[in-house]
This record gives sequence, C-alpha cells and structure tokens, in this order.
Amino acid sequence: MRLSRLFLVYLLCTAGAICTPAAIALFDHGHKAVIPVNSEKPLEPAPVAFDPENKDVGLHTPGCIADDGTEYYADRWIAVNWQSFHWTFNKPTPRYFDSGRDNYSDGCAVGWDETIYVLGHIDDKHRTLRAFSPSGEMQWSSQLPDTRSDLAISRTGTVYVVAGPRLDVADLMAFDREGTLLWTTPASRTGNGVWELTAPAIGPDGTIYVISAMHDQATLKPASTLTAFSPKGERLWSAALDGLAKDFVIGADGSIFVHLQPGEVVAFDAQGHQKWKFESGHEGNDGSLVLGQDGTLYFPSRFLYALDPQGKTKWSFKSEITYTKGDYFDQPPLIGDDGTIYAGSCYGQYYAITHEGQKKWQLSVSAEPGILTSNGILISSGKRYRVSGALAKDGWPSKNRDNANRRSQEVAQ
Amino acid sequence: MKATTSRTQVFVGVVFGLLLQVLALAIVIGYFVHADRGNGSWAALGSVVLAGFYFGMAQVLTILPAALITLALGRHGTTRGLLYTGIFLALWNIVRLVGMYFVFGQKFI
Repeated sequence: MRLSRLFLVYLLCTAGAICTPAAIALFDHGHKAVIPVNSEKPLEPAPVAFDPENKDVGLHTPGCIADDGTEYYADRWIAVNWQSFHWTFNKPTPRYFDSGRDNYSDGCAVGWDETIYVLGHIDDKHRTLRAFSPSGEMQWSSQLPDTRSDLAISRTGTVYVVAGPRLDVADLMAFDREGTLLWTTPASRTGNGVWELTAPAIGPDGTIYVISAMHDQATLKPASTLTAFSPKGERLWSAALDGLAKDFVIGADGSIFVHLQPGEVVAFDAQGHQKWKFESGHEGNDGSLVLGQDGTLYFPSRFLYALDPQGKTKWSFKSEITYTKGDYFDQPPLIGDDGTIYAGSCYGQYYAITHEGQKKWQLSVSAEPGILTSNGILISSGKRYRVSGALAKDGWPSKNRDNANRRSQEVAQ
Repeated sequence: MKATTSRTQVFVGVVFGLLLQVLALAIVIGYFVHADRGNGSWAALGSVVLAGFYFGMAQVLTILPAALITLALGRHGTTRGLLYTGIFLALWNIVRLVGMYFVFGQKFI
C-alpha cells in the first residue's frame, strides 16, 4: 500500500476511534428512549399548588398532625432558638408554644390521648424526649442517649424508642404516659457503617417489633435481626435477615414486611416464620414500604412495585425518565383512602397512580416525601395540593402509618 | 535525503509506536489528575470524551507527529510501522468500546 494511502487509512481509523464513544452514547440514548415506561397520558390534570392560609407556615411540612387536624411544626428556620409551634388547619391562627430554650426539635408524634411527644436535642450528646399537652404545657422531659430512633406509641400511652450511645448497644425503652421509664432491654446497636436506628413498630396485638441492622465485623457482610418483644419487654422471638434492614411495616393480620437495602422485601408471619422474599434487582437507594388497605404492598425500588400478599408483582410503574436519565423511586409513597398511591422520584417526578397502576396525574417538581392530610391535602416540599382523598386509615399507608407518627397497627379494644 | 524502507525499519516503527503509548497513557493519567482536582476545562470534559480521548487523541498526539518526523527523515519503513500500530490500536479501541457496551452497558437496563 502506498504511504499516502496508509496515512489516510490511519487517519480514518483514528477518527473512528475518537467518534466511537459519542456514537455509542447516541445509540444508547436512542435505545433507552424506546424502552416502555409509564409515558402514557395522565387520566386527570395535575392539581395546582396553593398557599397555606397561615403565612408563618411558609413552605414547611408539618412534623406530625393530630387526629383533630392540628398540624405541628418544628420551625427549623429560626436560627437561635428553634421553637415548636402548632397550628390548626381550619383555624389559621397559630398557637405557639416554647419547646424549651436551647432545645432543638427533631421530630414529633401525637399520642392517642393527643399528647404531643417531641424528640429533640440540646447538643450532639444530649437528646431529649418531651411530652406536651395539646395546649402547649410541658408535662415531662427525659434524657435519651446520643443515638435514637423515632417513636412508636401504643394505645395504652406507652411510648417506645430505640436509643443507645454511638457505636454501642441500643436499648428498646418504654416510657409510660407520665414519663416514667417502665423497662429497657437491649434491642439494636450502631456501628460498622450503620449510624441510624430504625424506629420500633407495634403489631395488632401490642407486640413491639425492632430491627437491628449490622455489618459483620469480620466479613463486612450485612446482617440484620427482626425481634419481637411483649408489651412487658420480654423477648418473644428473633429472625435473622441476610441483608441490611432499612425499615418495616406491619399488616392488619400481624404480618411483618421488612425492607432490606438494596431492593429486597422479606415477609414474616406474626410468629416470625418467613413467608416470602421479593428481589427487585435494583442496587441503588430504595424508598420505604407502604401497605394498602387490600394488602397490596408498594415498594419503591427503581420502579414502584405493587406486590400481592404472596409477594408476586401485580404491576410496576416506571418514571418517564427511568432509562434516559436514570430516574428511580426513592421516597416513601403515600396511599389515599380511594386507593391512589402518591410517589415521588429522585429526579423530581411526582406521580399519582391508581391502585391498578395507571398514571392518574403527574407533576414535575422536586418533591420531598410528603404528608397526605385527613381532609385530602397533599403537602410536599411545603406546597399544598388538593387531591382526591385523605390518607388511608387501614393498612400502613405512610412511612409511620399515620400522620401522628404512632407506628402502631393496634386494634381498638 | 534518500527514502529507505526495510522490514527492520517497519519492525522498529511498530515497537516505537507501542512505546509511544506510554506517553499516551501519561497524557490520560494527567487528565485524571486534573479532572479529580476539578481544574477548569479539563474537568469539564465528560467521560464520553475521555474514552475517545485515550486511544483517539492520545494516538494522534503521539503516533502522528512521530510518523511525520520519520517521514521527513526518509525512514519510510519506520513510518509504515508507526502507522500500522496506529491503525491496529484504533481498530482495537473501536472493538473494545463496542464490546464493553454490549457486555456491561446492557445489564444496567
């Protein structure tokens, strides 16, 4: 071959090598754009955001809501003394109460008797659990170790929390309605890459469930335990889990559904026997589980999966930009009393989905896990939307089951 | 200067072309160092550009000047050897990228 021709071939091949990555990227995008996703036309127009009647609320989302509709906020925007105040939605005149000087509010829950429990901290080492009457008087305050979970509240007024020193064993602690520590028992721990404690939850018969997630110190493999305790603090049973437990929900029949990060759900019966295991195959961040009134489990793990009571996929819903931008569902969904599921994705797609898996409406907003109130207002990232139903009363329709954050499936006596 | 060509010169060109890839590798490592530190336009280059950059631009920046120099010196055999190496590496790079996409890229869908 003549040298000039050889030069030409060389230049062409080099140009091809330079262009190949871009050509692959173009091909890949075109290929991903034609993979079926839920890009169908929504059944309804999306709701329009409206401002809260009380401007003090601004773009905040309530920490918890009482059964009478009173919304409780921890005002995180006051820099010096973060104070809690509460505000009745139907009476837009806020009633403020001081949560205690130098005490920062981290979260709240409302008991069955309307007592407001506020988890807070004074500094990194001093955590508090305080109880307030609905009129704002502090009833009691208790010190907690420096790592603690959210609360679970029984119908008898017992407040459960998992707490312990950092990098050490954490106890399940039970406080009565007067703030007396009834009992405490080792239940979990932090360390080896696990820094947060999962909140306990209460089953239909009052059994308290706790998950403990750990990485094995030697093998670094994740291993977790689901433990059941009686209301008196006796250990009933434990079940080992092959993975890192993130959260769990409880069904009306006492079944426990544990979410293992990433992409797995394990179902147990009330006696601790494993019923089934579901694997989404997704290796990224998942959202929390929620349970519908009909026993359908909704699991955000890249797609939003609807699982029947046997753990079989009924349908899966895919964000429109699942493949083209790598979108995935990573927030806890909400379930309305009409069966509508509200789910937000990582890249700002918020969907209302029918219980049959059809797109009801869609918003392109950067939305945080929201709250669905008892009068049908969806609050997400502080924005309010009037939607077709209130938060469902049965099943486990939100991360903490209800807006009062009681995490209890107990049946009324 | 009289142009010369021989099998030995071609062999020398091939070896020289392969050795020049060390320089190409140094250029790419330099890219990574700058990209990690977030230095201006280097860091702004995307991974797609980077992939093309390695055996694409790095080849051009090493083999092409060397080939032009040996051509000017009349070492046509060495020039041929360099160009053969360049052609082989460019084609190998195309096959490698396409293969990687179909083997590893697809599993993420």
